[in-house]
Amino acid sequence: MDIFELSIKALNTSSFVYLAALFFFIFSLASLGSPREKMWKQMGSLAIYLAFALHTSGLLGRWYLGGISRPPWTNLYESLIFFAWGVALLTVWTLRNSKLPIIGLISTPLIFCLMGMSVMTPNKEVEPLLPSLQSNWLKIHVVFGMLAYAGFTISACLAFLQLMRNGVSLSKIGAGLALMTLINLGIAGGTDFFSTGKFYMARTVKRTLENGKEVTVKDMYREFETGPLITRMDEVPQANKFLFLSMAAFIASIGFSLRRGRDQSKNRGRVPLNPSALDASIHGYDWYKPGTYSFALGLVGIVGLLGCVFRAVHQNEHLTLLSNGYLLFLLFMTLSFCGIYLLVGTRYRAFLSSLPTAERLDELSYKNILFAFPFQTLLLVTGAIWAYYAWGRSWGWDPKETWAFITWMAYLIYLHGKLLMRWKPNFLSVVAIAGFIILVFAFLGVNLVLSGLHSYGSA
Amino acid sequence: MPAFWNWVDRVWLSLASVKLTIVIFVALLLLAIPGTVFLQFNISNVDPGMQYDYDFWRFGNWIQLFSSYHSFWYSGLIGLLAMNLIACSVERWPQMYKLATAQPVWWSEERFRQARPEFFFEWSSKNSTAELKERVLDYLSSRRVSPQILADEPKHFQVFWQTGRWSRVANYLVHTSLLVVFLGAIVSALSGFEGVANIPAGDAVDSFLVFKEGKSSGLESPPSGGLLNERLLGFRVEVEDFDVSFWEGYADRPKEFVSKLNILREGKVLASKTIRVNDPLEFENFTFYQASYGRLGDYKIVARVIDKKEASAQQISLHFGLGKPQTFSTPSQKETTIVAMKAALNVQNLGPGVLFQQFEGTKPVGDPFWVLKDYPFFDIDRRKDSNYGVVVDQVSERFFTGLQIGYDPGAPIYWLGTLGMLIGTFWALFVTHKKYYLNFANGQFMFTASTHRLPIGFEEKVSKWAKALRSLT
Repeated sequence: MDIFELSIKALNTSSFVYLAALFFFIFSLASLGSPREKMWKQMGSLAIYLAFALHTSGLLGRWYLGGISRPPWTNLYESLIFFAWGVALLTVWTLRNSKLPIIGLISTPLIFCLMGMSVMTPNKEVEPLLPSLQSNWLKIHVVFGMLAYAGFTISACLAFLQLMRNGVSLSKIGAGLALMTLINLGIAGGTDFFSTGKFYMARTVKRTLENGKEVTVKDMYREFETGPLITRMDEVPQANKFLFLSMAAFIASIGFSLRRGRDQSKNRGRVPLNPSALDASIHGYDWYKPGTYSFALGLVGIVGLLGCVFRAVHQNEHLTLLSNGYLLFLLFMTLSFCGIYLLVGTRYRAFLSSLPTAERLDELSYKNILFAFPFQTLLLVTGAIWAYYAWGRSWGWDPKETWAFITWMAYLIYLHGKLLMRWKPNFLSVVAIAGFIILVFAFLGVNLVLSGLHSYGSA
Repeated sequence: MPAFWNWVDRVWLSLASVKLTIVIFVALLLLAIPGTVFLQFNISNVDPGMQYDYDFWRFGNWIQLFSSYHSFWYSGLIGLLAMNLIACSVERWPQMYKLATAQPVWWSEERFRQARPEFFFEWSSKNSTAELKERVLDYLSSRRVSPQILADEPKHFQVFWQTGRWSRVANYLVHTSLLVVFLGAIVSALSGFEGVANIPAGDAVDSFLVFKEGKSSGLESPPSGGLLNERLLGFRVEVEDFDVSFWEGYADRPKEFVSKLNILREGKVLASKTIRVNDPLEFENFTFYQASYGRLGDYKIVARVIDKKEASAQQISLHFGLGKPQTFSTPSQKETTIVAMKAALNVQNLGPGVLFQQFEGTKPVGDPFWVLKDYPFFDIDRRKDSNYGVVVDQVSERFFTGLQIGYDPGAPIYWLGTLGMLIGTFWALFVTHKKYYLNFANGQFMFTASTHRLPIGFEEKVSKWAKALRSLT
């Protein structure tokens, strides 16, 4: 086995070790308060360290193969891995320095999702660089981007915990999660689902790369010379029913949760706002049963949908797991967050007491943004310098540039809100999470949805 | 006119509000999105007019949707941001300056005890006051801070020192630099330009096509004819040579492409450089960037004609492009015209070859015939009935080089602004105004510190100071 295959093995294995870490953290959640809790948390941390070591060695292997002037962050496959590596790096840092093992519970689903997407990327070759990428600016530009994006990601994870700790009701968080899940399901269904009511997956074919290696890619063709690329699709039987069930259940869940929220706000004046009262107002599920049940029903729908997908892959020779690989991991991430949410609800009080104070979480989230923001600025600046030498203009409002600028603006709002407007921690947390959603689009959405000069996304 | 000044004052105050800043930020963020969804004039070769239906196109044009970052609304927002920035800065300057330069005041012991517990330290010492004071001051000067003595009595002294007080006004560096960046962008937009020229290797041009041109760029159109966006260079650019190499094992993945450019004026070579991606040529106001390349679909062919009958084997060199007729005559062959019809770099695995056709006037004579470069006697041997044979010496693909041509007079200005912004960002976010108070009274030390913003690693720093001071006394 040569270094190339070894490094890919190491990277693929590391993604499953991250998954194992996620399970250990979930077990620790299930055994909150019992002596086993600590053991599970330690195992989770250990698994993250192990996965991170594998991850790093895989990246180094690719760097060795490409030579010093071709760092392993130049195409979609490597970008996914490198970004995941940044998030893992800051997770490890937070685990060690801030003694906050719970961060693993929130960040491992994200890391696993990114690594899983990389596993599903068809072209894993260490390809030589096009002339415009043969620049020293490439190396530092992407490193700055990785540091900035990783910092913002961890800050969003901490902001999420801060919201929970600061007494934002479980039903509101549930409604937010259900909304995010709905969006993910909508993306997974795609325009085909909304126009035909059926769930489709892309057919795959084997194709030979320029250097003679065979890869499995989506079956795309053009009907006429300059026309758009069309993907051949196959219907997945029964899947549309589960998708519909799941969407309806999550919509119902949002409705129920919001109705609860209104009742709560009616009583707000009568609840004295002191710490012990806050503690007493922390409830599990008994406050809003219908919302929880429909949430769980939605989860069952997602599991059913995934089951249909796996059955279709098994039965239909044209479909493979690569057909909708990215969507698969999007759904998996949704599933794990929803599962964690339901589990947290059963042990809400114990979970909250295991978290540090809301002030500490807010401070850590802010520190991560403080760390990441200058790097985001450097990302924009080095990108402009590089573009000035490569293309003859420093700022051209290309979609990728514009979205990096939009991300920068979002955190600029956060910083001005924090430092000058003295916004409340809960609102700041919402801004940090919104910034993270923008970031995900700037990192992946632009390349997969919009087009531009930064075409590393065309897999 | 007090009413007028009253009104000016109100406008000024509303301009100087941070709320307005946040509103502008949100608007800049949201209004940047449509430009990434709809085709833009400035970044795409595709005309938006070809992509959308007529009514939408007219509406979009009216609201300047297809050049949204240069539209009246986006530029207006940026202008408003600049005004807001100036107003906020001016309005807050006295307060900020005062905070940075404020003289420290003596703190009572109660005041010390009000500090956050993690920043409050207390210990006792039996040494004499004078000795302790001297040790502390010596230590502080060795740490390169300038202490101020707030109280100096026989049994009591209080020392104050501070670091990073100018970081309170570091945001002024960021914001001034941002205005400098805006200024540079305005200069570029007014007198800069961007354009392209696709030049076949071996050719020369004296004009190019602009796609972005400032009002006072000073470019001239050709006297007559030409395209609407054609502009004169004022000199000739010759592409002496173009070369592209590909990565081994990847037939279509270029490794490097370079053009050798000569700048000519009245026949004299004024400048010359081999440009490559990321390495442009600058001449007068113009910068030439190697941006792309393409195949012309044509070949450069060098061939010889050999007279078969004449023992002296007279040879005539001919230069072809595809479809270009060449006429020759040899002692045994009168006035013949041949045309290269087709060429390929690999003819059925036999290497480069050219398909020729003999003509008489506009009428073809005989069948077309292949001549292979690596087999020089192929044609001479095969066409037994002809008096001449063709030998091909060179077949190479002809490329054009894609040059991006630009002039960016604002660049030095906005790069300076960018540098200021970067320095200012790090200064404003990572340096904080730290104040330290040390009090000694009746054998008891008290030490505390404060900072104007949540700092990274301040707790550790303060406890290190406390430890060091404690070990001294």
